[in-house]
Amino acid sequence: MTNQPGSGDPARLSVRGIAKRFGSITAIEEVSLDLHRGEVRALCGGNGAGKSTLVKILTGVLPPSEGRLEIDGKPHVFRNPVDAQRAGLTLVAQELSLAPDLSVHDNLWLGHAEAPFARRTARSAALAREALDAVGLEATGLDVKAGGLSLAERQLLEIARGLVRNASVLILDEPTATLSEREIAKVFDAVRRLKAVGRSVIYITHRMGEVYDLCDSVTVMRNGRIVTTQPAAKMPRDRLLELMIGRELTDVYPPSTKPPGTTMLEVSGLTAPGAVEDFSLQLRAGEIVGIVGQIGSGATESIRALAGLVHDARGEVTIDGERLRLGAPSAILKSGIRFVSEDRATEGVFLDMPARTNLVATRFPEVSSAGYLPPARLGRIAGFLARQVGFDPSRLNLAAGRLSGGNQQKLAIGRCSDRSAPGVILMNEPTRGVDMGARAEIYQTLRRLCDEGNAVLLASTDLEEVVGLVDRVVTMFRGRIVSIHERGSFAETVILSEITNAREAA
Amino acid sequence: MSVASEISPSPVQSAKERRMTIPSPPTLAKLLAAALLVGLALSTPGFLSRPSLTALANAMSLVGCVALAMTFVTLGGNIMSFSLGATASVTGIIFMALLGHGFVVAALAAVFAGIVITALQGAIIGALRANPIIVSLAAYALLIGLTQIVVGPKMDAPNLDYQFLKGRIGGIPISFLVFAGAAVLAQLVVTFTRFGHELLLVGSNARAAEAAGIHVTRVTVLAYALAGALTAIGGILIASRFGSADMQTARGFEYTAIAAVLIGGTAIGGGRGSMIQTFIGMAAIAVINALALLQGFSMEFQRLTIGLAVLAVVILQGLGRRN
Repeated sequence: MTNQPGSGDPARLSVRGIAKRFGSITAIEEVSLDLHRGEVRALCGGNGAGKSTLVKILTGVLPPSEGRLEIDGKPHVFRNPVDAQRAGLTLVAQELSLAPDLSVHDNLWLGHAEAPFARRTARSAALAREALDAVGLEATGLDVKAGGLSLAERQLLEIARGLVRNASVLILDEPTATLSEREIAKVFDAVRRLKAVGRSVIYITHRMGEVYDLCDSVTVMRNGRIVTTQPAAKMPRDRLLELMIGRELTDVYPPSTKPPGTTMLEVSGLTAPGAVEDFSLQLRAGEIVGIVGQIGSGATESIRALAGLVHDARGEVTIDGERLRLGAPSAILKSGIRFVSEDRATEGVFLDMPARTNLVATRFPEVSSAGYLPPARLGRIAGFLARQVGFDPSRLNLAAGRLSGGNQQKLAIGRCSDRSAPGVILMNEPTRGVDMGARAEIYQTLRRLCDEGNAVLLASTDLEEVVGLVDRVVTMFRGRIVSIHERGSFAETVILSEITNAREAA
Repeated sequence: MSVASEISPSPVQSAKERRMTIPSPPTLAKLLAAALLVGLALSTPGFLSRPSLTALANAMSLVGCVALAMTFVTLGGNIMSFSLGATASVTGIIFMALLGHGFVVAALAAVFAGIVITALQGAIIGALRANPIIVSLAAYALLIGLTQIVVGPKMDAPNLDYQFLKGRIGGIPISFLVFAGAAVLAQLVVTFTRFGHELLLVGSNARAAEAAGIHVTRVTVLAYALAGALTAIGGILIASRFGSADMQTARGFEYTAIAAVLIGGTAIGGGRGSMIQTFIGMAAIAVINALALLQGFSMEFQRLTIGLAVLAVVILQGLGRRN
């Protein structure tokens, strides 16, 4: 059933020695795996392990630098996502890509290479019905608008979309991240039905439980390589966790050296309609506090609300005793708060601006005198900040869009560092899309900033990162804080169950 | 883990660009176009004569001020404004109507009116994130309608010949000196002020600018206000030149202004470009027009060449992005 080299019929999907390089950076290397008919394969690994690069290659978004793909024994080269779709590989995206105002039928056929010219034909309707039934959406009509479906139904619809495309291999990217326990069961059912009719599934997940409940085999990736592939039954839980995290990572995180100081940021009753409810927290100088929660838990939204980017947020937030006006980012940032966005491309960096400008973007008020802003002074400050965050000063004139994710993130953090007065740094997903080496540097920088009297409040879905880096962990589920853990009493299993389990919120 | 945005594709791009040693097609095309224009200018008899050059300088300064105004709009990420031509007309009428109270009063009133007209649009665009083009179209219709009601159907102001701005200093038309001075001042604002830097950042990525604590609305209003002031200066120059002001003279100025901005190479999406580039773009258009006239082509031909030039710029920009 699982990886058995030499077993008679060819694997449905066979990946041989795939590598992907971006310039001098290697994203993945020597990736080989065999997926058989009716096999459900868990793909695990932390952020930056290379899972998404692999998925992009499998779905034709990126061409591999090396290696080849075979489907049912025949070699394939994907020039674009349509080629991959034709070959039977379909991605069920984590961030749902449905058109809310279109009907279920139209959503199923949207972007299909063989979508009917007339909007609906008897054949397209029949195939759509069949696909819906196959994922357990028997009760859902073809004319219902996708926007009216529940999250779980939308996820199932996404899976059905893959079936309409006659996918032989479906890649599910954390399909349950935003779902409740009961809804998760529906997705599991759908996956089991797919398996029963001989479809293969690559199931990307961060949840250990799903690996054992649903999957036949598990492939673990770390640092762009496959660490192991084994039948799930033969993989002990603690071994899987060990493999995902990797031992050497322990020294990536610098320890805190100073006890926390006085309270800098006091949040009480922060509410962002539809996302965060009654969020209260105290942040002291010199400490890093991490909020963990899955997508939709309100973790990132609380940070955004504190940065003033949620316009209808309410609640009492004071920094050094001074009350903040929520929903007014420029006023909030003036009072000593800095924000580093999780979405670098649209909100974090100015991609077509040089690195130099990116570093000084928040500092114009301090640098200018009566509106006059001497370029030489800007250059000096940019050079200084670059050294502070470990950014190569010779690349200051390059447009930020030409730098790696890690270097872009250094620019975003550089903007926050070394202010005359210490402040609060808010971050979402501090190392998303950042390679291991740059990660370590970013962690060092954050710790140093804290030692200098700043405070950091970050939200991350990367549990390993949070547990390694922060001094206190705040767990969130469905918009509410579940509990707060002090360093020394972090238990990953407890944290994991708090952010996934519906018990507290139901 | 989001499959959509985990790894930025940029390193591939930079690797590709490093391999290229010859200038990119857009750069090459620009150099060729410039060489062609200079060659044509030198070989056209009568182009380098004093009357011809004076006419050239005059022609470019009137629209030029509007083009500088447009550059503020474009740099700030608001693409273009279709109301600047009407704004120039209205401020010209105000200037003419108040000229009886003295030049200074009339000019200040015109500039003030220009600032109010565009700053209001900037406030709507900045605060509500309204579509700048639609707002400018609404403003255009409002300006035409209001002037019609207030000034009457003929929409012109009392004819007062005002000679001062039609004069020359050292043989150079004063209107050109005003335009060149405005271009230099505007460029200094962009390069050396906090507002200038913030304007480029807002134009480059408004959401990132907001997240970085830049007051996006304030920057947008200020950019539009400066655009209004520059447009009003254009309106005053037009009124002085023709000795009258109506809603017709500056019609279509915004199109030429947009052409100048684009041909100058300012990014239509905002964030990159300069006043000096617009100045060069304006000069190129004026030279094309003058050459066409000297070669005996009709006015329609000028429109055609400008249209072609803008199209070429847009295509080249698109190709540049893809490389």
